Amino acid sequence: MGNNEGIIIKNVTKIFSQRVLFSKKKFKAVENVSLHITKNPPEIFSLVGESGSGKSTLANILLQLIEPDSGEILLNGKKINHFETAEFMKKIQPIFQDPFDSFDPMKKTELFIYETIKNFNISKKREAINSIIDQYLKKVGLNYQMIKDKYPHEFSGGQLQRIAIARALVVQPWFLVADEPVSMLDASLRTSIVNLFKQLKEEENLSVLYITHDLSTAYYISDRIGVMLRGNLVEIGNAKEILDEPLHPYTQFLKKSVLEPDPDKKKIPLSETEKEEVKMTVISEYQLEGCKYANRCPVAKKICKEKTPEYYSVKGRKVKCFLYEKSEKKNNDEMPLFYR
Amino acid sequence: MSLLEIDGVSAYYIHNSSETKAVDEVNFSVENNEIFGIAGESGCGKSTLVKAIYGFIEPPLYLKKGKIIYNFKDSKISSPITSKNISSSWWEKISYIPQGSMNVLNPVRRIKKFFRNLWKSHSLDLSYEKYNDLLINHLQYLGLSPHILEYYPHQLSGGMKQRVVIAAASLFHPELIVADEPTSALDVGVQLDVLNLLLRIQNEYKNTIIIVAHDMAVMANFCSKVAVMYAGNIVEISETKELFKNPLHPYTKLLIDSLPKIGDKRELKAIPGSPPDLTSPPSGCKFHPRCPFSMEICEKESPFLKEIASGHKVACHLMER
Repeated sequence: MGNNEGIIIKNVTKIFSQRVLFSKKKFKAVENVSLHITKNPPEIFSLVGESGSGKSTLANILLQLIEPDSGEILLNGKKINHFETAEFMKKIQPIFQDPFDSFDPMKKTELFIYETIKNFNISKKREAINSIIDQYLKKVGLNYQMIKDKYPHEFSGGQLQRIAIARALVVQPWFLVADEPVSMLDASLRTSIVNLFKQLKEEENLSVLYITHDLSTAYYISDRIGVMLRGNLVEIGNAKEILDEPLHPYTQFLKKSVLEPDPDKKKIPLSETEKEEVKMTVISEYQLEGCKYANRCPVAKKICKEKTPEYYSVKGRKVKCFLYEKSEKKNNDEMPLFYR
Repeated sequence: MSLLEIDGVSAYYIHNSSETKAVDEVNFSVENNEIFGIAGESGCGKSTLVKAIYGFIEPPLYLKKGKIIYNFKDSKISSPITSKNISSSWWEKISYIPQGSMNVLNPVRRIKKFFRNLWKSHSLDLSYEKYNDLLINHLQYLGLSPHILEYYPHQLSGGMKQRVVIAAASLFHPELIVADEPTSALDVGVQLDVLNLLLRIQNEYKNTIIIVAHDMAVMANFCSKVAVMYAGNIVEISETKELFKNPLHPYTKLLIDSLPKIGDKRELKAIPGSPPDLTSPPSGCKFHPRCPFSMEICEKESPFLKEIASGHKVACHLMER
């Protein structure tokens, strides 16, 4: 649609190598991933998947912490490595998993925001800075009096995560990249943080890339969702539709393993019969030819182990699975299918 | 006779001049062959309570009041077992899976060594060969390959390490297994596998499991009875089905309602505020500053745990009307 706004990720691949005895094994932590996260209107895009599926690698590539081996990322039509560092960081801000790790335990908490304001030359006067700190803390439901002269250990994880979000906001970014922002937090605090993301999207027009393995919060806040499997995005589309009725066998597996807070829907099977499971290490699954899920997939066919499936569009989403090969008419466009 | 009787237990952490009242006046009992869940937010004393149950009471933690009585079936010790002499029953009668237990394995020793040390320190009247057979049978029963004994911890995934620790905890078929957040650091799929493993152990050996988790979904799916803790007190205790169908304490209600669910499109509200500082907890009912139904009496008097329906106990002034 010729819409340049937002983040466009084009065919990004990152290869890591791991030494095993005397040999070196290479695997693609992110394999040919393309994605478009819109800015106007803002959206919350969730990346879900097991640990070791390349979600964080993709986030780190986006934040320019890792350089991709191939492919490119455009931010509003400009390649991200053409930006100056400060300019780039004003556009995209990260929020990390462990709030206790994001803060220096020996420094007062307010200094964390103070330094960001100084570094980005937002203001120079002490009083002006304090009022800016207060202004942004109010956006996340805190205020300056609450954090003044306190050290990080005096806060709970949820409060620290809010302060980390306030810090990310002071540069008025367009995007937040939130890598597992709630997985260290209590279930009851999670809701308050994800509600904050929703509110920021509506009030500050902020787009968020939300990375998580928790499907229920992803369902709750996201507009679109991408399911990652060993470096590949295997299903992309509307979050509610995908999780209400997952199509890819891997997404179905993920949904099946979510426990629900309802004792009438017991999910833990008491299997007496020993099922012979194909336990594969992460790295050997990365090196599979064809579909990476083929060895665990209950409906795998011969073709799955030989060829990598393409994206097929089914019900308005893209699914990378041979099951849906026939249900769509081949799209011959050069453009990858999932650009909207 | 209940397997475990906890009678007015208060366990405090002592600092220079103040005390953290992590567990305050807790009363309950755990029956045989039951999966007992303890739920609540972080910082409400769940882990301290299970430490006290396991008898792992080391400074700065100390037992201020109350006692814990263990009624194991065929105990070798004739005197009653309380928290003073429980340590002689560790691993054999009661075992503990601590929080983050996948990191307890020594990174520079093979898994085999870990199990060997276990055999050594428990001076079992078992030769090492027999012990090894027992171990291999046990691992196979749990669906773990005996090859893992030759591995170093870094060669195993988080879920496998957790399973090794669970295998060790259940090796001598203890009557009581205490598991502190066994699944919270794990992936979705692996979480289900680990719970399934614990359930199989329970089914086979008919032992009792006490499980601590902040995730109400784990409670709903795994436990037969649930106690909800808030700021060192137990505020509600009930059978799982009854608790989820008919939560009586406002805190329990909020805890269940604040969880996002797939297929549920409602706007959710988080529980307002945060858990209190336990060095100086609020007066009266400790939940009153965050409670939507707070009344005058809540600030003054602390409510007692009262049986409302059979097996359903609640500590809340709302129930007394």
